[in-house]
Amino acid sequence: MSENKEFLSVKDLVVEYMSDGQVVHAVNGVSLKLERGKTLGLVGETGAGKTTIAKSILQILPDVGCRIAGGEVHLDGEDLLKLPEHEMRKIRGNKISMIFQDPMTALNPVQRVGDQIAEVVRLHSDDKSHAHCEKRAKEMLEIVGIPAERYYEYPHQFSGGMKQRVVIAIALACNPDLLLADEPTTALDVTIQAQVLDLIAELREKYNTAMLLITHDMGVVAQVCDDVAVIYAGNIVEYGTKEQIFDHPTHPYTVGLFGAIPSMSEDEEWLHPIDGLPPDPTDLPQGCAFAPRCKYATDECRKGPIAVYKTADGHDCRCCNMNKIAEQEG
Amino acid sequence: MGDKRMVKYVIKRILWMIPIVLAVTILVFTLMIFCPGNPAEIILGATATEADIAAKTEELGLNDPYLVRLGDYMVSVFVKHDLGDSWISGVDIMGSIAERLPRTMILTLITLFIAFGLGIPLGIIAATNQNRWPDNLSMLIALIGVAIPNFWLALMLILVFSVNLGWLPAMGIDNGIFSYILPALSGCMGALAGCARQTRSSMLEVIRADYITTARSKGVPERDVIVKHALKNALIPIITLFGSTFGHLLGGMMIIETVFSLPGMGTYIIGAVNNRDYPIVQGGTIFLAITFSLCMLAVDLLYAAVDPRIKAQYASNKKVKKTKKEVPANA
Amino acid sequence: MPEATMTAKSPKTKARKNSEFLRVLRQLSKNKAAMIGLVIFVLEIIIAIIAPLIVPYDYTMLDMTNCFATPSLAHPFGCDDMGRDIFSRVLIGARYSISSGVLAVGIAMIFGMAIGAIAGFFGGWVDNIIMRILDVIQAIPGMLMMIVISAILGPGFVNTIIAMAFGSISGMARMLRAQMLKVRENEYIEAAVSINCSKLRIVMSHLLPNCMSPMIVQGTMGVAQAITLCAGLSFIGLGVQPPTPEWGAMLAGARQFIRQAPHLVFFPGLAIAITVLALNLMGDGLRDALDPKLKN
Repeated sequence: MSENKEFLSVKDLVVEYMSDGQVVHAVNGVSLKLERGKTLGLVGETGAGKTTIAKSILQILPDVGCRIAGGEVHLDGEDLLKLPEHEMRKIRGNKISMIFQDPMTALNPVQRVGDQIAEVVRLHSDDKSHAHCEKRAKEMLEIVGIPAERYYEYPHQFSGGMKQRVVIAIALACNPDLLLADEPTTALDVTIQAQVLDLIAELREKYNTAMLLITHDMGVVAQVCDDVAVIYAGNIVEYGTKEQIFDHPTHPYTVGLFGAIPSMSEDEEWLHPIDGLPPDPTDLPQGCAFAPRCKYATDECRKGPIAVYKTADGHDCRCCNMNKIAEQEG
Repeated sequence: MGDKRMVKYVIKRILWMIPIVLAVTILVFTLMIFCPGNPAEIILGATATEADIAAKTEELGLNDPYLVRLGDYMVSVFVKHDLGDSWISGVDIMGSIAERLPRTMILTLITLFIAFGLGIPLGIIAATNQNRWPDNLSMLIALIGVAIPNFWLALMLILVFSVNLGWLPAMGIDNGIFSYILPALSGCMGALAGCARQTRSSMLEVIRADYITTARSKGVPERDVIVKHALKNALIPIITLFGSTFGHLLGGMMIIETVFSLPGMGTYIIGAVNNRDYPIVQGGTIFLAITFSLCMLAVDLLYAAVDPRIKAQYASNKKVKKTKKEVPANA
Repeated sequence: MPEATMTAKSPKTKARKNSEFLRVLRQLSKNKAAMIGLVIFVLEIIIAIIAPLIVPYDYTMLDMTNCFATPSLAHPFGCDDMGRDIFSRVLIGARYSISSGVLAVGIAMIFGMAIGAIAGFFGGWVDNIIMRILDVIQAIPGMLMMIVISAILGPGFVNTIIAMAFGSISGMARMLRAQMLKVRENEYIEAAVSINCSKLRIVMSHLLPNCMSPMIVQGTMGVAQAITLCAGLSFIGLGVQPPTPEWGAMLAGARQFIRQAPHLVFFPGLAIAITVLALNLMGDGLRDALDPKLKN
């Protein structure tokens, strides 16, 4: 087993689900790699399939009509998609855990917050005694900055930020190797966002946890991530280190994303939103999914599948016109 | 500290029952005045002379003004705990009710137990297999369950199990618990169906909730996800249903009782209506109303036990009614 | 009507009402179960209307040679204790049973909604008093209430309908009021208030129309319940009396012969079950169509 190399690798992941008799192509052949202790940011618009990727890794997609149609998910060289359910259950919450987008609804309203943390400890710890689980849960509460005596309270007695801390405590209670953070700060107040991000960073450093961070906030990416994957319509369109993506955005969609962020240094009057809407996932266009919104699109873009081009070491871009665009943009 | 306020709430809730019970008594008494027929005539029978009737009317106090009669009745009910005697048989009504109410309660509780004992699992099976055959089958059973009138089902069950197979008694209560089986089975179908449907829909709502995904992401086994996490949340609207079903059954069982000649409150009151023995109707109705209110109180308190959010509301004396309705929506 | 009120129109305005209605119909037509229910119920209504023209025998005709005749080609459902043709009686009975359900629910709806709307409209102490009165009435289980009212009014078709209507008014009123409170939270009501829309106008054109969906569903289900209840009351001798061929009254008359002639009790009960099933299927379909939020 190669320590530090290819700790998590996802290959050609395809996820589909049925909705009103139509097949929704949520994820279409995503491949990504993550090293131990590093952070990969998944960036993209709402509905691009980011959350589906994370849930597929954990295999907690909703049952109804949702299936992983192909691909592999390797963790430490083991294909998770081939594991039987009871083996997978040992991994969830233990080796891989997840932080959810909306802390307001992520906690069971009729269970004491402490018990919700203790539950994950009991499931995965060798010592299943009540005393041990409760002690560990209280420890986790303290670690995320909540007084241990609030163990016995219910979620409705907590604020949004506090709830997210509890969710983080649940996720980190078993010292996971991989943390899937699905927009952990989106639903929070701006002032709380920074606190939560700092908390996650601090705890990750302590336990050398790798993280897959899902977000649509470029600012968060800049602050937290090592690598970045830009997702569009269930596919990775650009992949590279944070520096590569931020300094040399290559795919027209990535360029567009940066255009939609207000710049502090330049006195711009208008933001540059990307025209049009993401494609209907039940009816994806042939060729490049971004082509209908892309001002550089040519006939070639609308034909077959688009290959991945390398611009630099580790910097991939799924665009057949990228050299031309680079020339035009200078 | 919250518990103290909780106790205060419970006491307040119990005290609120007093005006309700008084008002129900006044309402029933007033309604019964409009019953056809002169009580004196009913008591004395067709052969009585006019003088006898006039004397009896005076003796019963029927010539007194309404308020005096109402006052007398209230005093006798709430101070002397006396509901009067039957006009026809002269037997003390309170005694008869004491004998019959337990039977009706046993029947109602057995029925409720069967209905919810089968309805909740049926609903869970349906919800966890949404749109597959177990779901469709459960919902078909539920549909048929509501559609069949319980007294007709009772007749059909008698036909099969008593007349043809001879397994179970068709009437009376001489066979102990066996006497209650057919009445309970015929009475439970509607409640079972309602329970299964409510369980299914609230389970479906809960299963999609984020905290269920959280539970799965923790590695909780699927069975525990359903039982420990989903069901406890889904129970909240089911408890409401439990309360209203109880009231429904208390009334609905009256017909079932007459089908099986089961000497409970139903046969007592319906028989009294047919014999124009109105004090029984009056006393029986008041008694059932009190029983019903007490059970509703129990259901209200059960809420607090299941949902900490409601407990918090009770304790903080906020407007409970309104928020209670909202809870299933965001649960 | 001042121009400004137009801007505060609730979602179901006149212009959209038509399309809303069509949308509901479209949704409903896609629902197979609901359509089956609708077809059965419409068929039953047609049968009820033309029953006197299509019955093979006079439903009151006594024929002592055919007492307790079992089902045959001549008498598809057999004959009762007086030799009357049960098939004809069940068809004629549809008139009594269905109309009793529809009328009882109709009356309960009108009064219940009026009371609920008054409570919701005036609010404050009026609302308080009405709700407390309803509390008291609802402390008596519904069936018991109906039995008491029947005892007072005496048996008979019209009296039974009144008793049933009276028993369900409080439930309807409470439901409408609850619905109104919920709708009142909406922002278009706030908008209407903010432009000085009169209170009566808010209730009549904004609150009530938006409360109708659950009331319609409740009404459909209520008719099914009322048909069962009416049969139940007749069955215990309080509602419609034999020899009127109301289904419950037929069951009451046939009950004593269950050992020797079970077909006497079978067919009227089956008729009730099918009608109630059809109405429930319709009600379910309507609920899904009217309120997409409730759909699973």
